[in-house]
Amino acid sequence: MIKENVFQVRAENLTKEEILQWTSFTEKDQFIIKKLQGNSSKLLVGPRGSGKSMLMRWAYYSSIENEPEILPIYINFEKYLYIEPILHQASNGNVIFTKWVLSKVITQIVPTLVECNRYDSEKFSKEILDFFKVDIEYLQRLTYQLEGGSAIDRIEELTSSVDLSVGNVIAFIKHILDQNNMKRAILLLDDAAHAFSPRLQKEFFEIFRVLKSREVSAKAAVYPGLTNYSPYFNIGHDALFLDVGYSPDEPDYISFFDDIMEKRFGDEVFTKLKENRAGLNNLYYAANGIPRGLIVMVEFLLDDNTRKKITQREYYDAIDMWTETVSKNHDSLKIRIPRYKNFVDVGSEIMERLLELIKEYNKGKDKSSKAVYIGISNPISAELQKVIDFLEYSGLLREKKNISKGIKGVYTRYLVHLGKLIQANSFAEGKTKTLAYSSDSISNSKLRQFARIQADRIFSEEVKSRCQFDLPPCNNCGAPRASEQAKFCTGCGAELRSASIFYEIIEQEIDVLPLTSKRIQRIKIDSEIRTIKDILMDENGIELKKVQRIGAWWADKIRSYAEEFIGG
Amino acid sequence: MKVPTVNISEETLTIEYSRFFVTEKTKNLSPIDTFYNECTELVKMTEPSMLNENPSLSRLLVLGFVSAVEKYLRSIFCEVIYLCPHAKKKSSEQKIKLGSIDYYGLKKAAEGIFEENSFASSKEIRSLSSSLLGFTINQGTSLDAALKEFNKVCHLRHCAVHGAGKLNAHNAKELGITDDLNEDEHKNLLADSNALQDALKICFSFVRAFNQALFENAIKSWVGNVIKGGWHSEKVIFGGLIQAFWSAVDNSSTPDLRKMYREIVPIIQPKDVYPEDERNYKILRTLIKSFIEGSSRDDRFFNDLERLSYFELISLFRTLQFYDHEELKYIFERIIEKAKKDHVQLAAIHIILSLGEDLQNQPTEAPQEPETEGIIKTIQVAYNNYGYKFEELFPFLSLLEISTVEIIINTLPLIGIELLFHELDKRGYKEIESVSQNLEVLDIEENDIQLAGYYMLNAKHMDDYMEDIEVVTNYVLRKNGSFELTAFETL
Repeated sequence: MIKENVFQVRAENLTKEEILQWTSFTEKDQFIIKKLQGNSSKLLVGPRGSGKSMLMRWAYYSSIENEPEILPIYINFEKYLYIEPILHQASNGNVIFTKWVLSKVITQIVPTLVECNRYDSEKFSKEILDFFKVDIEYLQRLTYQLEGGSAIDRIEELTSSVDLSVGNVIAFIKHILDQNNMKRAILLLDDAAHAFSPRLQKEFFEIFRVLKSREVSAKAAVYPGLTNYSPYFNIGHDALFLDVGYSPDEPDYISFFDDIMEKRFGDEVFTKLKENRAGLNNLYYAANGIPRGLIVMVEFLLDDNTRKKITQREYYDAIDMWTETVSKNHDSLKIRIPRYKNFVDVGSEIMERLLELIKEYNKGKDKSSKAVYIGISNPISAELQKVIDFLEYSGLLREKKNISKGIKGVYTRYLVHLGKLIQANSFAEGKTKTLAYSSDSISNSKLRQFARIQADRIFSEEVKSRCQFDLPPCNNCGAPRASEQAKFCTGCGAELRSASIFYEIIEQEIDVLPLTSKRIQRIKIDSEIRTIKDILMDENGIELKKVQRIGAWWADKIRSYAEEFIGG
Repeated sequence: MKVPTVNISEETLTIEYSRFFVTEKTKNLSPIDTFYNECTELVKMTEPSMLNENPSLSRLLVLGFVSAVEKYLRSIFCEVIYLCPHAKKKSSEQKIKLGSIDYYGLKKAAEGIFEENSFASSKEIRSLSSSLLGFTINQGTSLDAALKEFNKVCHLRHCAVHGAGKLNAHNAKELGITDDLNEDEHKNLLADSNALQDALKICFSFVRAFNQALFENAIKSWVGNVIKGGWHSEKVIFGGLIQAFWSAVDNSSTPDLRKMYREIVPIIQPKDVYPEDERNYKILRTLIKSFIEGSSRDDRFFNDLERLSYFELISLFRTLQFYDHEELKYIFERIIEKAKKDHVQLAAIHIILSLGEDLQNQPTEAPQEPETEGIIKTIQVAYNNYGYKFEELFPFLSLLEISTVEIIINTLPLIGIELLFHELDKRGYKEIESVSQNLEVLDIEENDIQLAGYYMLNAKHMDDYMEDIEVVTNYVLRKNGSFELTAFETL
């Protein structure tokens, strides 16, 4: 029997019991959780689906269960981008954003105290009033109104009367600690730095940088690649990186994924899939360290294969399906943040080129000396770095931190997505590829075996010249923008309007969502819904449910697609 | 002692300083649009290659930006002092030189105040706003943040103006520049295109925030005293204020003054409209709200009206008339045309009558011909149920340009021939002719005919309808056989 929520891929949607029951941890995970519970600032870095939320939630629950001295506060900032329009409506948008972040921190103390059976609502309300001059409902309303995009004058009015600063938030937490005989608090800031708004990211890290004291330390989950730290933020000094994700070159990679299989899907499914060990290992590798990938592939295989034997073709289909999802995630950045369109296009080309180069390198090599890494010669130009950032963000490349310095020069090494390698037959087995050959090649691969590539071979001047921000020309005279940062047209002097990234995203037609064209047509015929924004505004899916064949389940699903589309 | 010369000697030169100036027509633009226009010209000079060739340009541009903001502030201050009674009062204690009245003229005399003052720092802007306009820039607001940022641009300007770009210690501190410098080094202002544009954007943000906040401040202080809700008497002063702040550049359209006005006039509560009965407060509230928000032309509005009683309607119309009676007139026209219930039409007529002259003197476009039948019915109801006097109704009928003949004929039993001819007399020959021809169909009391004769004799347009007098006489004679022609004897 497969449990109901078993294919749920977002940790935010799992219950406490599901998290405690299904999560598998490697030694490295245990180490990360220790660090999350520790008393210094940390940045948890990993691509989408790598398990950042899971680790944070685990650290949260296990602190409550096992660490009576620690007050964990878990805050999810998934509505990050909803605040971004403020920057285009007021001069003090950064101050308002700060108040949003801090007011979320304060209000999220409540669930922790409730979970620990230490919540006294009357007393807590009074304390909030003492510290911040407003009550808890006021703070909740404030975050709600900000996330809901209320009119700016209303927001100004709400935020101006709240006395919220990093200083008094820390003092308040200290007060709560003292009251509950606790020693210190850990702030688990999930989805902390939305990848699409560099300006808000910088503001966020300014808060994060100072959000610490002897008793309070903050940890933030961020994506690789597209995270911009504030100018004063000093990585190493202000916070250390913790790399999340399971690197396929770690020795216990296979056994770790076995463990996930068993816990999540139960004995029956696991035994069935184990019949073809090479096939299963291919799935593990193709997941490229992302548990979510494995879940999606297994779901695909089990879907119409409850009884009969799974063929080799089907394994490849499952891998294709998952790697396509990863590539689509990369491609979708073009639509989601159109100004980066050219960088993403170049990235897709470079990715193809890298796969070819690896295949070339692997030709004629023995199974034990195939490469899954590529090294790109330094220096890497700012434009190329940006392209790589997008690839890393989507999980197609993963930088290995230690660079190779040898007689052949200095190289930054990247692990190429293993699913992509399997799909592209990059192990150069010959005319027909087999599951066993690829899994053997990968398990024997070593970091020191990498295909060396000169940066200018993949990133010529011609390619570089294509890496331009795709921003609309002056709408007064039509002249192109002098640069990405330009705020006025030097041709006619007109102001170049800086659109909100959030609006740019939500005003797109629903065609960009992963729905069949038939369904999109139907939605347009049967309802008033045209844009992503319309879906977000359609609370409880009332409008969506007017559409033929859309009930509560689909309405929820479509809404979550829309939210995912905005999510960074 | 002979002091050595260290440079070549100076020379004699006196010049005609008027050569530095040209006379220009003052454009009729709002201060903010003037600011935009000036900056549009300046910002073209941030073209990267132009800056590369003329590096000193960056200093001059910073100066130009701040000076454009300063000019904006001077003009908006003058406008507000001129328009706003509160600001006028606040600034009345200011001393200005007699010469500036001569130079600027009385209307713009306030400009003289700024000859002594500068707007080139946040401190001065704050204090002048407060002392001249009574406008406080509150801490923590968007304007406050914009002003603080603008103050940094003022420091750039200071650096450009007073040291030809060389950064002094105070400016460095204010700008947060803390780099360590060697003894033989200094910081020089030399900004690139993007940096300059950022500085200008900060000026834009400040001017925008200031313009909006000062406008809001003025409006808020006006509502209830300068603006009480009477559109006709207040539209000039209100329009003046809007024009002073309105940006045609940002809005690309002219302001809809009436709509804006309605948005800000004080909202009246149903209990103030109709204290007698609270049963329909919900409907009243909706109606007042939609009228003020400009959705009074929706069908819903008219459906809601029909749910109110006659007296509620009268009270509501009286209130709305105060807000904007031009819009109310539109509503009345539609009521007369389409209302399904008599009492609604009647209430409208009542208010139209009470507006009297005012309404007649300001005719809008000719309304559509209303349905005569409805009008007749309304008049009958007015007479039977509410005791209207018909002379009160005639001005209204003429306003609506209804062909009165049919109405008069149908309402004659109510109206009495005396009044009929009285009214006809006012209207002229055509109508009389037409009524006369129809007299036969009517059953008229002898008495009335006598009176009619009397009226006709005393009528102003006597000469015009001699023929008709004959018609009437013949008719009466035919009908009665005998007739006392005393009234006609003078003929």
